[in-house]
Amino acid sequence: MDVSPLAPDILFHLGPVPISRAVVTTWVIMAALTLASWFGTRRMSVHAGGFQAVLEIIVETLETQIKEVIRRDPWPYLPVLGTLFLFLVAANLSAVIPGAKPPTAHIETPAALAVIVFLSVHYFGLRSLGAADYLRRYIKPNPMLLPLNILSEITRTFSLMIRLFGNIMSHEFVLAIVVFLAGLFLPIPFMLLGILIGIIQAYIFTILAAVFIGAAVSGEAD
Amino acid sequence: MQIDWWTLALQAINFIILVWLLRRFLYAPIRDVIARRRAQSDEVLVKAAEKEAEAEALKQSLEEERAAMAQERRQMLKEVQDQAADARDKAMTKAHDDARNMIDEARQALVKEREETLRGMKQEIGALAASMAAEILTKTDTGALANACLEQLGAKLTALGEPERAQLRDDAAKGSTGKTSGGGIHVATAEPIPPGDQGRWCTMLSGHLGNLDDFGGVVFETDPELIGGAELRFPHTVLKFSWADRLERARRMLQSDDAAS
Repeated sequence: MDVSPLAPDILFHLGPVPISRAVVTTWVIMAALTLASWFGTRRMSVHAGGFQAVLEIIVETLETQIKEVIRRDPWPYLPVLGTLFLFLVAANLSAVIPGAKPPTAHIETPAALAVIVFLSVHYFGLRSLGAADYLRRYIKPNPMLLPLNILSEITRTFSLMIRLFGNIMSHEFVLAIVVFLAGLFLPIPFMLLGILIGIIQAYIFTILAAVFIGAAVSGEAD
Repeated sequence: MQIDWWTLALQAINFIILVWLLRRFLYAPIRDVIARRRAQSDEVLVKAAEKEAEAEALKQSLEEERAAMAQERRQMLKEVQDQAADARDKAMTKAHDDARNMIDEARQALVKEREETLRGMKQEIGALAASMAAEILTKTDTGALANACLEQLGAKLTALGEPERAQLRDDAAKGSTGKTSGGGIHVATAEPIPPGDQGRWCTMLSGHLGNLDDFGGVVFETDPELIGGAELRFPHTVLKFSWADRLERARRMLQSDDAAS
């Protein structure tokens, strides 16, 4: 029986829990990001060194982007949205490492991130507006729209997941087909294109998450 | 397509753990250092603003001090100019007063000197006039002068009142008491009276004083100092009709006029 390329690639089991390649890759990415962060911020100084300056530029750029979208203090949202962007960039670009497969090419990882975003939207919305005001948004402008609003919440999360998964997965398939048909060197432009696609998809996923969170917290007093 | 829910759950947990890790090792430290940098920047800005304010205050103070110094300089200059003007006015006033006093003193000295000169000249003129008159009179006809003197003497005795003539008689009578010759009346002339004229003198005297024998007669004397005319000398009274007496009175009159002026 042929194994589906979309099926999770289980490497081993921890008790009853199967550990897939995507999870292992995610652990590696987590370790790399954490080590890089620790290395860059272990001796923080007002007069920043080279790597600290790079990290500051990345964080301040994320802060600026989130602030422009949400239009309020970005620091409460930066850990979720910033981590989302950094993880997605690292995960999508992991394809350039020989033997590695991007975790986002399997549906579980985009689905997990979409669920996180879905929960974060409601968490920040409830925290900003309170339960009554936040839930009242679903019956505006008319209570008849309540089902549509609920459906909208689900579908936009689903589209968020599918968009990321589809782009990365399709790129992997295209790359595999091109390698199969044309040999070793021809896929290089496609790999470069994959870098661009990975960064763009990370940006789109993060910006959409920021837009959803911003819409949820709108009405919060500045 | 199948979904591995374990993988989905692990990936969700992994992401939450990654959020915590990056928050711990990335976002929080960078946020702290950015805050510290902003605080330091704000502190530097505050210090710069304080320094600027101090500099502005110092500049203002210096400008005020410079203005005060300029004002003080102008005031001192004005005071010095006023003092100089006062000193100049005082010096000018004193110089004018001194000059006026000197002019007054010079004028007074000049007037005094002129008066002294005039007085001396008048004295000299008087003395010279008396001397010239005496010289002229000594060269004139003594007889005519004697006659004129006799007439003047007669007019004088006529002009005297009886009491004065009585006193003259008493004086002459007392002068002649106890004398054998040379009575109490002496007639002195510059030139000797000729004997012919001595009778006329006696007649005139007796006409006014009575009998001359009561006085021991009349004694005629010669006194060249008289220049001209005669003196009627009683023991205690002298009636002067001589030119020397007149010239002396004229000289004294000139001197008295000078003294009065």
